[in-house]
Amino acid sequence: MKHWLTLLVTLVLTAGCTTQVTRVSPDETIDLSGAWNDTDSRLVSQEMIDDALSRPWISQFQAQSGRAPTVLIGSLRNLSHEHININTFVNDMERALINSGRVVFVASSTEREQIRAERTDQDLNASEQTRSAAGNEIGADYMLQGQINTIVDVASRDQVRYYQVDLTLISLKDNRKVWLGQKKIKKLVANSKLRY
Amino acid sequence: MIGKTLRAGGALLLLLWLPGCAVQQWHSTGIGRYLERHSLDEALTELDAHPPERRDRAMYLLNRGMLQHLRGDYAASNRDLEAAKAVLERVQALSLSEGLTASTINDTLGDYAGTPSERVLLHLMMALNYLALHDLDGARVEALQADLRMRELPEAGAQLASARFIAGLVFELNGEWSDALIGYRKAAQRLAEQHQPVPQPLQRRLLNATRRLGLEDEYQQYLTRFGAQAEPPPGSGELLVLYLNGKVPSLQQRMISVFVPSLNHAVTIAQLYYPPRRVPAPGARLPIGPHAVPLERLEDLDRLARNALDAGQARRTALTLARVTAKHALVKNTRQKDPLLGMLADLAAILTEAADTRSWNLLPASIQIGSVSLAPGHYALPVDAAAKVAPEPLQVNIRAGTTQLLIGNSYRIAAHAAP
Repeated sequence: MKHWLTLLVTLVLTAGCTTQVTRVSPDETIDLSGAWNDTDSRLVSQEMIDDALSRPWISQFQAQSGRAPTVLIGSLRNLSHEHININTFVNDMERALINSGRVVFVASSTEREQIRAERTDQDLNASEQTRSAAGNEIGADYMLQGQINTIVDVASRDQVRYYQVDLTLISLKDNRKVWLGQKKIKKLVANSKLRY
Repeated sequence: MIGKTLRAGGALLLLLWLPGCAVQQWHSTGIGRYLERHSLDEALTELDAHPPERRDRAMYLLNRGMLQHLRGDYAASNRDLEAAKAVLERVQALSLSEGLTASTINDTLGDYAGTPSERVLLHLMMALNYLALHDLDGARVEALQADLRMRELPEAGAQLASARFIAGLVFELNGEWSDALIGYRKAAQRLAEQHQPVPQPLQRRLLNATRRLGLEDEYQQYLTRFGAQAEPPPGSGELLVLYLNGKVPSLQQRMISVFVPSLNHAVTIAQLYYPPRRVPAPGARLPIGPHAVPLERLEDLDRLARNALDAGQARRTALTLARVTAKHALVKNTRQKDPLLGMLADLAAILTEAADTRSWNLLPASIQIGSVSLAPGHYALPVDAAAKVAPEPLQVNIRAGTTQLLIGNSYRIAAHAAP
């Protein structure tokens, strides 16, 4: 009887020591630490882009020029209390805008540098028929800029985290701000005061 | 008979296990002393050769992150420090099992949770790493997290003038003058609370920020207090040096016998102490071309560590006395039942008594700052192998109205961040 009891206790104790992996849907919301996570990134980008596409600046531009507006992503600064991977947020926004079919996207300044270097290389090394000539780039009509800010209130082991994401779409022609998007998230993070 | 043998065997197993614990703790804490006689690379190899116990992981990561910083591998340093941050966050919750082992065996069997000042300095070191990597936004995140940490920890030891100064600097480099001034004010206030003089680079920044923000009254107050010489000459640029000087001492333990009246018996307890404080060297001067940058102390981490030890003395003594009293009662009880087992238990009680010598002992003894106004142009840091300055000349480009940042330490000066 004693042996069985020992075995049972051992099994219970060691069960907590094994690594367990469970596959979950990328859309599933899992909050572990309370920090900015993939769900925040996805929801904020989706909601803000939906808002941007539903505003009159697109239709006004199309009415004036007869084509879809060309957009460029400028700087998106992380001014929050956390190290947030801005790239995933930018990529989410870019994908949503491109897939809407209502906006044309051009490469960012960093991406352009690489493409221009390749074009210069083609000038020297590629055949006349396959070479991409310089001077044919599409100029952007608008630049999307933004920042992520936070306000954190802390008491003992508990925190209230308030995130505010602000995006601005600016006309490159005349510096007009044609769309301002704002999304707020508030989280109460109650950290455990006890552990084993 | 079988029961007696089992009990004796258990005690012997405990005795065999204990020296292993002692060796492990030496590897975890001894890296500070190892670095005093070896190079940074050798210290890193030594540290990695002895993977830590789970309970010492935070200290291992903090020391590893510090070594990487001193070596100039700032990205690797931040990876270690970020991992340390996660471990420290987890172990801040009160552990019931650790409370039990601390009150029955010794303090060293719990997770290393860091002192309040260490938890703030973690953010400061990461901010320095990000500055050296020219990542201002990353440095800004750490400055904000340091502020949060200082708000969370009310202890005086967690309120660091250096963390406030670095936060102000990060905001200044980001062009956020209002927040920069708040950081500089708090740094000056903390120095005043400690009866420390305001270093010249901080004087300069208080003047500059109040002037830029149009706070004329406050500007005049600082001008009267610091003098007009604190103002930079027009058309000049600034070279600002952040210098990590020396190394904090390593905690040591000594065994002392204390008579406990309730037991009518003397017991042996382990007591923590720091070796005597070395008299700080007068402010060093860093040669930059024809100039020399005078370095002034911004934070005395050596003093901070000693203060933290003193602050915890009463709690440690009470816990230790409670523990040795319990151990003594157990030994006495065992000896009455079985003299041999009682002798082994007595030996185990003495051997298990150990003070917690763990600390982030690769931190610098002090954080120093210095600045010099230079005419725009290129300057070279001279090679000075004896002073462990750069192995090859560092080129510093000064532009009018801007600040060039140089991050260095007693082991090497190799980073200059130009935001």
